[in-house]
Parts: sequence; structure tokens; C-alpha cells
Amino acid sequence: MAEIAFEGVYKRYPDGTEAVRDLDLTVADGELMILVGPSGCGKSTALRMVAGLEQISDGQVRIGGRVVNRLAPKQRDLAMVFQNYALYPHMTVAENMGFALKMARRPKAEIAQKASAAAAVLDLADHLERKPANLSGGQRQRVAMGRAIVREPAAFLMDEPLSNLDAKLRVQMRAEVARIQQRFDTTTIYVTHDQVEAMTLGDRVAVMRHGVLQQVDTPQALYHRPDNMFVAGFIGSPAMTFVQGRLEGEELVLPFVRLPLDGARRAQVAAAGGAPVVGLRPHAFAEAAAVTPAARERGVLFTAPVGVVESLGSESYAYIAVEGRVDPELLRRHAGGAPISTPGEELLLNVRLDAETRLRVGDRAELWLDRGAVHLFDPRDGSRIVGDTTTEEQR
Amino acid sequence: MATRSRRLRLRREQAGDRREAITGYLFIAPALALFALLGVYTVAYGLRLSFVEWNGFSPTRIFVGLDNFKDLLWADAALSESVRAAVGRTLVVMVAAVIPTVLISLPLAIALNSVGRLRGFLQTLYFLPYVTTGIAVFYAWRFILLPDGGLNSILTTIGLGSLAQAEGFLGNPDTALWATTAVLVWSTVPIGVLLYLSGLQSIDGSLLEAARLDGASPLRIATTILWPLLRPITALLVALVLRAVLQEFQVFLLMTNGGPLDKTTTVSLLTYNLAFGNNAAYGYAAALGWLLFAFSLALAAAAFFVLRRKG
Amino acid sequence: MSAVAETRIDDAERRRWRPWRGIGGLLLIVYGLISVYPFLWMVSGAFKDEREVLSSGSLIPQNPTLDTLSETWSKLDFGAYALNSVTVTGVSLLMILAIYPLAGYAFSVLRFPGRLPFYYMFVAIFFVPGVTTLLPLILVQSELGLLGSHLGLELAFANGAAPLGIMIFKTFYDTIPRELRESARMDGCSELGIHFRIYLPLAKPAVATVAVMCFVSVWNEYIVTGVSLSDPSRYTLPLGLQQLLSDNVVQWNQVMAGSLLVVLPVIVVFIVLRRFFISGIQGAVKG
Repeated sequence: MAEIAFEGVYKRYPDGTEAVRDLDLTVADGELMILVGPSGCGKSTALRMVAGLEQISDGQVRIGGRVVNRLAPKQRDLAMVFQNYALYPHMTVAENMGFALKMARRPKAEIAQKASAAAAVLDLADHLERKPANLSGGQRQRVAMGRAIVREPAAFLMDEPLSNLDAKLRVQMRAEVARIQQRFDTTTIYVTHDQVEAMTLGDRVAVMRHGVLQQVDTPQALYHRPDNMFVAGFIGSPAMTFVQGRLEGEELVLPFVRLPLDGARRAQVAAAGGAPVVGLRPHAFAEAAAVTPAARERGVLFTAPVGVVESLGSESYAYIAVEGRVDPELLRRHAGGAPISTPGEELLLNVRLDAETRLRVGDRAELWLDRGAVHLFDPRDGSRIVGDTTTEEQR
Repeated sequence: MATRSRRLRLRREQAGDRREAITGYLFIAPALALFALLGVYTVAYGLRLSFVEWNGFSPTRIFVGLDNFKDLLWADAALSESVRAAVGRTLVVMVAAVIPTVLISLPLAIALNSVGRLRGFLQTLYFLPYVTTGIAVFYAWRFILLPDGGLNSILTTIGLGSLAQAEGFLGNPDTALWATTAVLVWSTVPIGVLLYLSGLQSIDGSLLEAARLDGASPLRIATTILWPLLRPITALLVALVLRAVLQEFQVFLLMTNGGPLDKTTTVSLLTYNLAFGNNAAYGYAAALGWLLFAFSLALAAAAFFVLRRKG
Repeated sequence: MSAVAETRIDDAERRRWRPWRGIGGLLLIVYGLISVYPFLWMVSGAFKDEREVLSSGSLIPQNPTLDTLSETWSKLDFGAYALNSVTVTGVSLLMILAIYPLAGYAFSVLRFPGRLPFYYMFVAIFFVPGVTTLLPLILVQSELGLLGSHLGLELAFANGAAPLGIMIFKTFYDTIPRELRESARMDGCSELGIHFRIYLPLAKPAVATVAVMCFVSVWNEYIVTGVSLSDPSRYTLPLGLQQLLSDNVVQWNQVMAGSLLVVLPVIVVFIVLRRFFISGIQGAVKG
């Protein structure tokens, strides 16, 4: 059991690439910390520096208070689960799980006992004598987990451990990983590029981009109060749509709707140049008819023609063509790498509808936008001006 | 200030990699030691030798500069004449070995590729010459090529007695080089079959299927589809055979020892005989060895270039 | 309906291809015979007596005899030659398999300054003609006091196997996912442990390939052995065989018997390990 701390950690590869820049992050004892970001954001490098598989160019990594920069991987008391599992093909499941203990010269009986205990937890008891080649993808993944468990390490490091599974199995194993992590209450750093995985799994989530830590917080906080356009665009599915807004008198003007702003907000927006980027999540919208009169007060109504309607069963989403595209260069700079839903020339606003919606392509929809769920960003650096201010009860 | 400390840390990081580097050197150390002793030292020794005149027994070695090379190439009439003849013969053998090797091994590989059950057995059969290449099979061929050997008796039996050689195929100066080259081809065909076979197996089957459905004849498929696709393999095979002709001289040494009338002395055999023959001239042998090396290197570079361009 | 049409096309197809199949089959049989032709004569000669071997051009011995084989075996000390061959081949193989897997691991996995130059240096040896270094090699051996000894040969053969051994092991190790090594490092393995516990056990095909190819070339080696060894008691089989031909009157039945004795072990090993052998050469050539 141990706390893991990055202190000003910096990584530059020999070819000059700066993979991680001045990372400060503390993972509490027993916490499940997710590192998430698009590929090449430095999350894996950060993890591998903890593991000792990459040298640390500058700064320190502490595990349980001890600086580990100069320690070899085996001296760090960590277990790692790799994306491709890295099972030893010539060893049985039992040998794979017991290998680290064998290297530590533990008695055979103890190794066997621990391997079978782990196998029982992971539902692998019948497969102990099989070779990895004879296991299904899910079983291999569990062997990889088992290999980490038997070590009883100070921390688990997981590098995209579910990425090689098909979608259904991934969801199933996600729950399994959470269960195991809670059961052993072991500090865990979990790297993934999948924001859904990050949101469902993590105690806290650290979002990285271009080697720089963007924000660390609980999934809820990241969703409602993203620090910048990148985090806002990266977290949440379907993704947030960015629209160009403009301060006009007391109102924030979007091409399709005008939003009243209170004095404090106005001052903030004005200080940021008066032309904020407006972030709208699909869940900030609803069909006007479906909104209670009380809630109606909190928002504004507008009408717009409906483009595509996608039904997911539990709810539906519509794409609405509107004006107000944000300068693409600005988007690329502040949110590039996040799956921003602004394809093509026109701006398509993604809007949530009820599952039972009658709206069809070409209809004019009367929609409601929750004023409190509107995010405002400073176009100069992409930072947050105003986040989601909806209270718990209002949701 | 901050940048300076960062630079310092970066240097220390490289020190951390030193552990891996040291392991690396330790792991290659045995190979390197052996190579230093029998590779580098030997090569350096050979290079020195090519600039001296020495018969191997006299205690003195006379430094003669580039004279050995000059003698070999033009200055010594008799010697340069025999070098030129050997080079000519080597070139002839190169052509005479490469073309049949390709022409035999490609159809053989295509045929073998369409065989199902017996493939393993046939592969074993075709591969025997490669794994046994050496003195034993060369002696067997000598036996077959004798005046009253197997080949003459077959030719007589099937009514081609006029082709039979009374002095044996190796005894007749006109046939010796061709007979030896044939044995060389016999021992290189297996490599060709193996290379082409692996090439054929990597070709997309649907391509051939489509051609068959279009009504292309096997000959057409072979010439218009397979041959272009297998061109890189052909280039590799040609390079390997040329290298064998240039460097391996066992077949010439053991079957004819260069005779009759020096008709089968190739460059590498000449080099060998200059060093270990009756009138040892170590300086000449070393110098000719280096000329051979230069030629091999040029050949390898050419092969590499061709392979790169096509691959 | 369409199935019927298809089979009809198939029939026409098959008819069109039949002559080609015939040609292919004929080619395979004829070349198969050419391939084994000298071996047939080895067997044939080995079972003929000295008179028949000269008089009859027939492949099948008229009066098969085992005397030729036993005479050849005892005439020259073939037992001792065989033992020498086994020793030289065995020790060379051990050296090769002790040295080159580790070097291949270093070139494939470890990062150190000079890695690629060293690697290319070893590969380049492949292009140095044997005859160029033959004379200096003999002189160096004599300076080291190794000339005429088995050790001198074994060291030379081990060195000669460097390009092949290093290339095959490096290419094979390149295909092993690097996460395996990282995982083993986390599990507490040293580099040496990773090589011997993870990489080498996975590289059995490479080991077999290198072993078989080196076995064949060392077993058949004649040139270096011939100029290096002078004491007949240290002769290997190829040198013993060569003595048969230096008699004043060559007894071809004995030469064939001797040839058979030299070739037989190689053929047996080849047949047993054919799978490794063929895939190994393919791999070596591609790498």
C-alpha cells in the first residue's frame, strides 16, 4: 500500500520529443487514478516512468514517500498489466502467475497457494495448467490481472489493459477491474484513451494532452466544470459542441438563441474579450414540450430544423444545423485531439431528445436550453470562464 | 538556472542507461572476442601479407608495396595471363550456373507448390544436395562422370552413345568445366526451390484464382503474374549463386583440382593454389584474395541495390 | 442450377489443366531422380566389389556384398575419424550456441552505443570470401599454437558462424513483443534471466535452425580442415575420405562406401529436423 507522487516529472526522449512536461500529481493510497488522453499525450510514458521502464529526465517519482528515480523496476514493488498482457507463451497459467514469486525465491508451496487463490478470485481455477495460447481473450486478460494480484504489490499499474478486448467483454471486464481494485484496496494507476472507461472506473481522472496535465478531478467535476476546452471536448459522450458566442448588452448572443447573463458573468465574459466560445453538451437541451414549467424558467426556448435523428433506445439524439462555427484554427489549438463534433462545413449541434420523440428529419423542433448548463471559454487560451452551474437537485 | 539543472539531470539519465549498455557489451563480448582474434587480426594479417613477397618458409618477408597487385593484373606476363583466364572462366561459370538454376528451380517450385500430400517427401528429396554438399557427393559425381561411369552408360543405353565421353566428362578439357558447373547447379537448385516456394506461398491466392477464371493458361500465369512478383526473389537467388561461384571452390578443387590443362581453375581456386599449391607465393595469394573480396563486395552492393529498388 | 453450371466449368477447367499437371508431375519425378542420383550411386558402389565397380555400369549390384563397407571402415581408421568429426562438430556447435544467442539478444533488445555498427560488422563477414582469410587464418593459428589442433578448427568454425547465428537470433528475437521483457523486468528478472528464462525457450526454432545449419556445414567442412590438420589421427571424416582417393589405384567401391558413411548422418539429421531446417533457411534468407 502506498501513495504515488509525481513531482515536476519531465520526460524528453533522445530524439528531442517532450513526452511529459512538469507533471505534478499525487495518487492517494488505495486510490484508483485514471490517466486519460488521446494517443501521444504522454499518459503511457508517465506510467512507464513509475514502473521504471523509462528513465525520468527530470523531477521525481515517489512511491510510499521513497524516491524511486534510480531504482530498477524490480526494486519498486509494483505490478503492471500490459495492453497485450505480455503473458509468457511457454509457461502455463500457474507458472505465469507464479513467475515473479519464483524470481523472488519464495517457497514452492507458497507460490502454488497464491496462484490458486488468485485463480479462484478470477475464475481461472480450471485453467491453471493451460498455456496462454489456449485461452480466450478475456481469460488471458484475467491471467494478466492474476499475475499482478499474486505479487501483492504496493501498487498496480495498468496500461490500456482492456483495449484488446471486444466491446462487450470490455464493459464486463471494466466492472471486474473495479471489483478487484476495491477488494485489494491497492493504489492503482490506470492508463486509457477511452474517456468512457475513465469516467466509469476512476476515483479521480487525470486528463493529459501533449504531455501536459490538463485537469485532475472526480469524473463528475470534470464533466461539469472542465478547466478548458480540451477537457470539455474530451470528457462526455456524445461530445460537447462548441459555438461562437458574442456579448451584446446584457445578453450572450448565439446565432440561434439569446441567453441573458447576470452582471458577474457579464463582467467575466467582457474581461475575456466579449466573444467567448460556448460549449453545449447534448444534455443541456430538451424538447420544450417535455420540460416542466419550473424547469422552463431556468432556460430559454428556440426553434430549429432537425437534421439526423439517432435513437439509442433509452434516449435519442438529433443533429441540428446552425450557424456559429468557431474558427477551426482556434478549435484545433485549444481542443485538438478531442473528439469534437463539428464535422464538415456547417455546424451540427448535437441535442438530446426523449426516447419517444416524434421529431423526424426536416421537422422544426421547439427546444429548450438549460441556461445553467452552458459552458463559456476564453477564446485566447481555451480556459474556462463559466462552468455548469446547475445544482444537484436541478439535475 | 532551471535549464541548467535540467541539463544536469538529463546527463544523469544517460548514466542510468549505462547499466543496459554495459549488459549489451557483456552479451556481445564473447562473439566480439572471437571475432577480434580470428576476424580482425586475421584480416589485418592478410592485408599486411598482400604487400610482401614470401614463400612461407624463408625467414624474411620482403616489402614490395603494390607490386603483388601489379604482377597479378599486368606486370607478370605468365601470372596475369593465368589470372585473366581464371577471371574469364569464373564469369563463364557465373552465367552458366545462374541461368539453369533459375530455369530449373522456378518451374520445380511451381510444380511442387501445387502438390498436396507428397510435398514434404519431395522437399526432402530436392533438399538433399544442399545439406550434403561437400566432398562425399563430389566424389560420387566424379564416379558417375568417369569414362566407365554411370552417365556414359546411361547415354549409351538410351542410344545417345555419340555424346558419351571416352576420357570421362572430367578428363576431357572441353567438357570438364561444363560438367563441374552442372554439379554446381545441382547443389544450388535446392536454394532456388526453397526461395521460390516461400515466395509462391506469400502470393495472394485470389490473384491466381482470378487469372484462372479469366482463362489464362498456366504458362501465361507463370510469365505474366508469377515471374514479376517473384523478381525480388530471383534477384536474391542470382546474388547467392554468384556469391557461391565466386567464393566456393570446393567443387572445383575436389572434382578436377583445376584440371585438365587448368580448364577449371577459377579465381578462388587460383587463390587457394597460390597459397597452398606447389609453389606457394603467399603475397600473391593474399593480394588475389583481396581482389576477390573487392569484387564480392561490389557484387553484394549491386545485389543490395537491385533488391532495394525492386523490394 | 448455378451449382451445375459451376461444376461444368470446373470440369472444363480440369481438362484444360490436365496436361500441365502431367508436365508438372513429370518434372517433379525427373528432378527427384537427378537429385538423389549420386546417392543412388554411392549406395550402389558401396555394395559392389572392386572388380564389378569398374566393369559394370549398372546401378544395381550383380553380387551385392557387405565386404566393401567393412573393409573401408577398417582400412582407414574410420571409427576414429567419425569420433573426430563428432567432437569437432559438437564442440563447434556448443560454442556457437553459447555465444550467439546472447549476442543476438543484445543486438535485438538492448540499447547501447555502437549497436548497429557492430551488428553490420558481423553481418558483413558473410561477404568476405573464405579463401581470402584462409591463408592468414592458418598463419594466425600457427602463431597461437593452434595449428593442427581441433580447438583451432572449432574456434574458426564458431567465428565463421557469426553472421548466420547473430542474424537468425536477432531476427527471431525481434518478433518477440518487447512487453515480455518489460514484464519480466517488473517480475524481478535480470537481463541474463530474461534471456535464459523467456527469450531462449521461445526461440527453439531459431536454436534448431542454427544448430542444423552449422552441423551440416561443419560436418562437411573440408578446406580449412584440410590445410590445418596434418596429424592423421586427428582427421575428420571428409579428410579420411580424401585419403581413399590419394591411393595409387583408386578403389571406387571403397570411395563410394566412405562417401556413404560421411553423408548418412547428415541425411538422418536432416530428415528428422527437416521442418526446422527449411523454415529456418527461409527465415535466414528473408532476414
